[in-house]
Amino acid sequence: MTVDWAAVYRARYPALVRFLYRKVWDADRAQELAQEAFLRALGQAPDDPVAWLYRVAGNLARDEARRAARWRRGLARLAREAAAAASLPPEGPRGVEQEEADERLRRALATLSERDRDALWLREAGLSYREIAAQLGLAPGAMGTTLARARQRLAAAYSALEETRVARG
Amino acid sequence: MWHVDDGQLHALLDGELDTADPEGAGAIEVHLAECAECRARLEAQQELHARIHGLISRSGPRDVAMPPFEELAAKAAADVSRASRWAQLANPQRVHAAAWIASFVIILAGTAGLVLAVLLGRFAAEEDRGDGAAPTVRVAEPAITGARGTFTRPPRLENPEAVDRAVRRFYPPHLRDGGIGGTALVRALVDENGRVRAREVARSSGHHLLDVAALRVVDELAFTPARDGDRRVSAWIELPIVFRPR
Repeated sequence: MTVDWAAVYRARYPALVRFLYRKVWDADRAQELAQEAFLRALGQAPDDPVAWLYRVAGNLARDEARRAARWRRGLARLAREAAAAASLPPEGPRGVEQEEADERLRRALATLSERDRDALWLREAGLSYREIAAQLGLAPGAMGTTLARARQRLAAAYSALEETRVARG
Repeated sequence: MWHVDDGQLHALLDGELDTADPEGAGAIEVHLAECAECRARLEAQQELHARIHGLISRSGPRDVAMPPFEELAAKAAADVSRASRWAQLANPQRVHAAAWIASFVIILAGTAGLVLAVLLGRFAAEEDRGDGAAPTVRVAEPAITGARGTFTRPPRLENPEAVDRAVRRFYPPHLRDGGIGGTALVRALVDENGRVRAREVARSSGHHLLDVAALRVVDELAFTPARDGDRRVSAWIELPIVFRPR
């Protein structure tokens, strides 16, 4: 069996980039990882190309996040040392509303389990319950319940963060 | 009287309920027509569904520039032709000379590697054991990719084939047959008797079930303990457990 990757690419590329963005939170990096995922895909002929693509992309993002975390830890330490040395004031708040909303979404998402997050992303990327279940190692019949719970938790966490922002003024 | 649960409502909203199934969308729609309570819940879940979709879809880049597919295909082709140029080098006249050069390089690299391993071993021995981000030593041991602790000889797998056997045993059949595989990196503490005292997933395979299976594989393994001089000591190792689907 051969796969028409050109068709998959045209239909799925933007959604894949957005999926990756929500994992690495960096638009350029998301593009690079999406390209990398497709590069790996060419020449492969999996039964379900879309599910396969998202699995590869998910793994790339996970490796990326691990590298980024190490990098940030190092950076944070350097920043602390530098700030301590120069006793600089901390950085002020950023203005753009969508950036605030993004940040709030990130923090709300951080309260969810990885499985719930992945279920939401994969669903948002247009994968079927069967495909999502296969990737997460769950029964397809449990996907409705998993997604219902994930959405409820995300909404609650997001609302709580909005309230603290209003309370702070 | 039964009611529709949230999971069913979300499956309905996601268009994932089968109308042909007697317990699927058809039955639920009939019930919703009769039950005001469930209708109210459907509305609330519908609102939640739309809100989450809005939150997620608004985040992130709006206009994704899509480079033409041909560009990507050309890049992939370039990678392949680079690889095949290497393959062309392997003609009979060159092989002889190349073999001599290669063996010289291997000896050189081996010596350098040995020196490096000894240096790294000293360095790792001085590292704080509690810091998970500390570098691990790569040792030329079958399957074991890293070991930490104070030792002059790292732990060794007594029977490397046992890994394959255990992988076959614990690989969940529906993942194996469904083409789902991956590599889980397991970090394990091998005690002075060669037994696994503690283990954790250091790097996920990407699938929870495969990670769990990998831990069970490691539980099955027997090791020759690490040695510090002539004393047996415990040591941490890293072991990649590979699940290859059919």
